Amino acid sequence: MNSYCIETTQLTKKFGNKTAINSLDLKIKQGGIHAIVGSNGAGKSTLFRILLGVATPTDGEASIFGVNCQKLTEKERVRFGYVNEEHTLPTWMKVSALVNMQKHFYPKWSQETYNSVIGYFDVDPNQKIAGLSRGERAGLNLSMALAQNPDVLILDEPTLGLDVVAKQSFLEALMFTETQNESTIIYCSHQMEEIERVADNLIMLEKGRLTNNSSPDEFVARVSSWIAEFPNKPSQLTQSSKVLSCKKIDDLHHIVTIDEDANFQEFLQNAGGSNIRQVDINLPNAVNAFLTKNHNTPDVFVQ
Amino acid sequence: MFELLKSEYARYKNWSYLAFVIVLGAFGFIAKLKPFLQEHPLQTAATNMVFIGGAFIFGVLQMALHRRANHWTYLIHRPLSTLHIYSGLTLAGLLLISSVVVVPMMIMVVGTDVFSASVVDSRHYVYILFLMLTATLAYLVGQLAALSASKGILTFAMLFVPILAPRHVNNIALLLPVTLLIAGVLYLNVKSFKPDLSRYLQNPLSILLLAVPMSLSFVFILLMSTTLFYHVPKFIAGTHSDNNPQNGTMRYIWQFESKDRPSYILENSDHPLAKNLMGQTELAEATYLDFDVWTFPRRGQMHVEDRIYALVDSETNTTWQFSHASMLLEGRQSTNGESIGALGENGFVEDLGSIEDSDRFTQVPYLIGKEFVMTQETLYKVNFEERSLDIKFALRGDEVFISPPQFRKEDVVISTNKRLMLFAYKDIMDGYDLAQPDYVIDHPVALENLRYVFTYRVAAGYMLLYFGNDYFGFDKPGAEIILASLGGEKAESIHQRRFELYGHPAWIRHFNYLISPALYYAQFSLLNALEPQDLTFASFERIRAREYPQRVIVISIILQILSGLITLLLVRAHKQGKAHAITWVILATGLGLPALCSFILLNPWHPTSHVFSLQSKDINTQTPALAL
Repeated sequence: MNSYCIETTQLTKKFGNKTAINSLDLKIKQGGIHAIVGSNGAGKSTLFRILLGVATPTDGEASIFGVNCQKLTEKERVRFGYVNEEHTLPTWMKVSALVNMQKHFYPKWSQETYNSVIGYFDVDPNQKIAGLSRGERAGLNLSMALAQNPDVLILDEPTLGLDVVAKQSFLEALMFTETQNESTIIYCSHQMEEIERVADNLIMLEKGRLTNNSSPDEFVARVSSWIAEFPNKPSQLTQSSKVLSCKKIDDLHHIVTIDEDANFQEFLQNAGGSNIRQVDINLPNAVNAFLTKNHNTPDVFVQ
Repeated sequence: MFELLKSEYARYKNWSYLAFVIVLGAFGFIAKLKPFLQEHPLQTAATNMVFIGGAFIFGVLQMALHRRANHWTYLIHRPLSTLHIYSGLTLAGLLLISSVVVVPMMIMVVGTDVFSASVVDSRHYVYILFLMLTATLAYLVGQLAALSASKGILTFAMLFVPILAPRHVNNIALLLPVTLLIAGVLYLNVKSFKPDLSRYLQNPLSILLLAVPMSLSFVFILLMSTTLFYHVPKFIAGTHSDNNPQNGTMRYIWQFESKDRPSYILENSDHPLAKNLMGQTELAEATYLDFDVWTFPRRGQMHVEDRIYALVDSETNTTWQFSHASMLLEGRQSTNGESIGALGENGFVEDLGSIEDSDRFTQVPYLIGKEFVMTQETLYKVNFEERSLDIKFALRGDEVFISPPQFRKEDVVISTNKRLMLFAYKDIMDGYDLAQPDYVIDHPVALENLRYVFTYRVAAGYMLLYFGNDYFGFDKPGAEIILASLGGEKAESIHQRRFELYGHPAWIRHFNYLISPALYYAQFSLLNALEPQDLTFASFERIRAREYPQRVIVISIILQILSGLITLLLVRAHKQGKAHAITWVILATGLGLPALCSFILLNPWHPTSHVFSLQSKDINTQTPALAL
């Protein structure tokens, strides 16, 4: 049996002359929470739209459960849920009416799951959706998506614009559910602390290309952070593709690298560095350094 | 699907209630001003505009709100087929439209039927069906405009021309076109309602259904474009025939005042009366004669096509309204609505129970003024006080009236398909005796070739000036002076003049034919089938008999071949498959330039952007790759 729920092969999507996704070969295993991160314009939302079948690839192929995303039928669609950053819902309906409608669409609907998740949010069933706060709408959306018992749940920046309390509730509800069933959750977010907290797998996209597909720990293990003193600007560092960032703070240079081994200390010494020491780096900083490296900026090094 | 229907209905129901109240209020206000079912051009235009325009806007709005990126994904990702999703939304939309169109109209018609003495026939209910069908079509076209990847769908507005413009020959001609168009647009909507809205429809049937109406619209757009590339530059240069007419063209006649026009026609005449007539017409009063052929009313026609609601006699305080069900003028007291009998072809009938079939009219008559009733063969005058119906004038054989009488200062003009008759005004208006024409002038040319007719009162009787672009046959402009003498047995042709010069070149005069002969035939054949009595809608046989200049035919053939070749090159660039390519090439070769224009609108502008190319420049080449 195929253990991948999502597969893309040489997937490419162009809008005019702009390439949103570029020859993407991606395989996502069933189960767990897979975080997809990338800067704006990395192609995350385009990828989701292709996976949901509402956009057509320019080239290549994407499949869910082995079915081409361009040929999804209601049999496949019933197996996945989708929550977007706007928390699009029929605002003219009452919560209870919407929930009743959703029940008709999804035969595996679990009222128990719905009740459990909605309990994290203060949502009155008789209230109109237009009257709900953004956090309550996010909660309702997540509750319904999870109650569908989807095999794959796609969450596209679901916590965008939520306050701390709503975000907390959202993540708790998500993690609660993840432990209750075997859904595969594709979680897209710019909030690294959320990723650190929930993700089992870290997928990184940059300008339509896959740049990482591993566990967060594996990714952090590839990244190292160094502090050193340099009498002059260490121009040699700019030539190394393994240096993600180099910032001068209080006469000390903070250097983040990827896939460098212990020889890097020797390299720094040869470059004129002194008082060199390696320090721990957490996932948010590692990811941010990684994403910043590829971001279009006039100067790679910020003094 | 039903759940989605309920949800969609709930979304707009408050708006539909509001619209219902406004429409019903407007109808109630109209009913206070005049009988609700009395045709009034403003009321008909406003009704069409509100219902058709409103339904179109609703269709656009409904789908535009759904097609926003996140909303579309939210709508489509449900475990329902796109057909079911579309059906749910559309049925909700049609329910909402019917609550605004059908319900208020039905309340008004049923209310008039039950609570008033006005005649209400089944045709009044057919009108409600027609309104709902046209609103449905507008709604579906609105949906298509929002769903289609091509914004050229807006040209589909032309679909309403054959639905609204002709006075349809029967109810099949009235309802079948709109029903077929609904079926066609519905098919396109179902096909367009696909997960990826940016994809263009490519199957042959969709292309056909999109391209043919769009090409017909492009015929009119291209015709209008002659204003930009021909007429306006000519006007600016001062060489346009309208502001700089050339002697020897028919257009030159309009240079002269009415009284001088006969002199221009007669200037080379050797007829002994020519000079005398030229002198007389300089002092005579010229009157334009309307020579349009009217489509006579038909049984069961929509009440909005009635020209007069009823005959109202102020002396007897009675109202006589024609019933298409009984084929009688049904009378009632204007004050209390009490029935006062009927008026049939044989006169008044007091007892409605004693009416026989022979009493009924065999045709729906025109009601003219306050006391005239006219079928295509007979002009009647009604005497309400004496309760009699008298024949004022009747035709024999296959001769028929082509329009109602024209009442002028001194005379009354009656036109038939064979001749023109002038009656003394008092002979028609006074008394109830049979009237005899003072002048009878046979049409000098076929009816469809008559365009402009002016009459001049001269000493001997009447002089008539006929002229038109097709006077001596298709595209053979000419003029003729005819003298009808009082008491003379036959009118005499004084002089004919042919105009050998034309104001515009042949390619402009026949631009409609030149850009697409097939569509030219199609548009006229369609309109002729819907309203055969209107001579401006030439029949297929009439068009086939026309002789177009050789140059126009050659240009037309070259244009069609070029359109086919250009389309072939374009479809090769689009790489959309054989069926797509073959369909478009056949269409462009058959329909010419309008089909080529349709191709451009119905296919993506940047075909290569949908085809992946390894050689293309992409943004990732600008950034260093990470060694991962």
